[in-house]
Amino acid sequence: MTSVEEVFAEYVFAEREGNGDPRPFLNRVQASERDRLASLIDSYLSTTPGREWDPIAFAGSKEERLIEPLSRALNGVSGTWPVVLPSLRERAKVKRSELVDRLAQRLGVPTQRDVVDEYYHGMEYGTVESSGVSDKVLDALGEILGAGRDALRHSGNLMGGGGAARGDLVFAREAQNIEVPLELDDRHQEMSVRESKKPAEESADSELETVVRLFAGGN
Amino acid sequence: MDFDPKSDYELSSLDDDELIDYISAARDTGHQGQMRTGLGIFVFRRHSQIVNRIRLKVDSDEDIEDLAMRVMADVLSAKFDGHHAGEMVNLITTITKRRIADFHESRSKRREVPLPTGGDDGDGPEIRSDEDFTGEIALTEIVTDAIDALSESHSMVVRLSLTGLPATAVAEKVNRVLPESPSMTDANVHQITKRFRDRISRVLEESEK
Repeated sequence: MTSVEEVFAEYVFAEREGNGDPRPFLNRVQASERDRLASLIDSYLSTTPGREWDPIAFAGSKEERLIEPLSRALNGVSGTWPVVLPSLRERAKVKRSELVDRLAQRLGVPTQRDVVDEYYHGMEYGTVESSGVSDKVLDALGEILGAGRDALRHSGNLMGGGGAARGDLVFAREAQNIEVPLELDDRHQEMSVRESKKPAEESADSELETVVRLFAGGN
Repeated sequence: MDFDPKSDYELSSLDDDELIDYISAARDTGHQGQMRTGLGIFVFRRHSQIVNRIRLKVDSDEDIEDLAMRVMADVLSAKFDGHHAGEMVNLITTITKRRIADFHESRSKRREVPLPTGGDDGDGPEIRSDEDFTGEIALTEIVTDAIDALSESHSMVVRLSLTGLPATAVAEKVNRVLPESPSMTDANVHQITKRFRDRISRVLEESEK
């Protein structure tokens, strides 16, 4: 075994050459010395200036793949959900279509699966205002993705609402579909509309209202 | 708002805080390409360091990448939300350590089950079931009841404070989200959270008698 100081010096050189994975170096010292080496490496990494910009190395890199979700988070109104939700979904090995199926079932709105899909899409793309999403949705999502409601809520509150602050992002589902409550004067017309609707349609309408309330009405 | 676009070379010579300011200005003025370039330079500069620091404490590559991505999002969020005015390296260190600690804590509590609520929908907050959580359930109910008893703005203050946001950020957020409520100050936030803590303490003391 080599001394901790020697291995640490070798690590510094390797890191500066772009080979900064510390694990092979930790394995080269005795188990009792690993914490000390890890601490030295951590202190070193905490003070280094970071990688020099290299557009060729950046192209196609892991770092480049982070830019899209981070941009959505920065521009959107969903906090860091554009970063966190796809990551949780990947970790849980759940396809988006499957997640949406399960979410619609758990929320008790199976006939509105496509609307749930649209809202969930908006959560991943930063276009659904996080404060409008109810705890019930976050509980259901948390169960599917293995995350707690509070953690999801917290990540939705981060990023200071980029688009919301500028008022340039609006999720239009509510305006397009939700039935506007009729005034008293229109009550007769409402009754005749209701009478002409079949029970299945009424149920679907009611589920649609539920979906809008759950994703855009807050708690 | 004026915005002065810079080349890759100029951007790469900015320090972290200047780069974040640039990204923020590009976002706010609709210069999406410039925002993404700045973001790319910042992420390229810091991501591998974060990954390597997490590698010191976490084994699985999948977990490491996931944690690093969240650290990056948290760091940017803290800067953009104005919650951290100190040096970037300190912020990265703080958030990386917190994320690693959270990861190990969540791993040590393996399985989660819904908390029985007695409500109609049956969808309550989640807790872990592989330990004795009787006390936690009772505490959760006490805290939830106490929050429910508050007004909308006070409830929001407590909820945001529980997430660890500083008082200034809590006041700012409450004023933004609830503009019709009386304006909230740092002092109000401290007072509301102190009263809330006192109330919880009293309830807990009474429940132990």
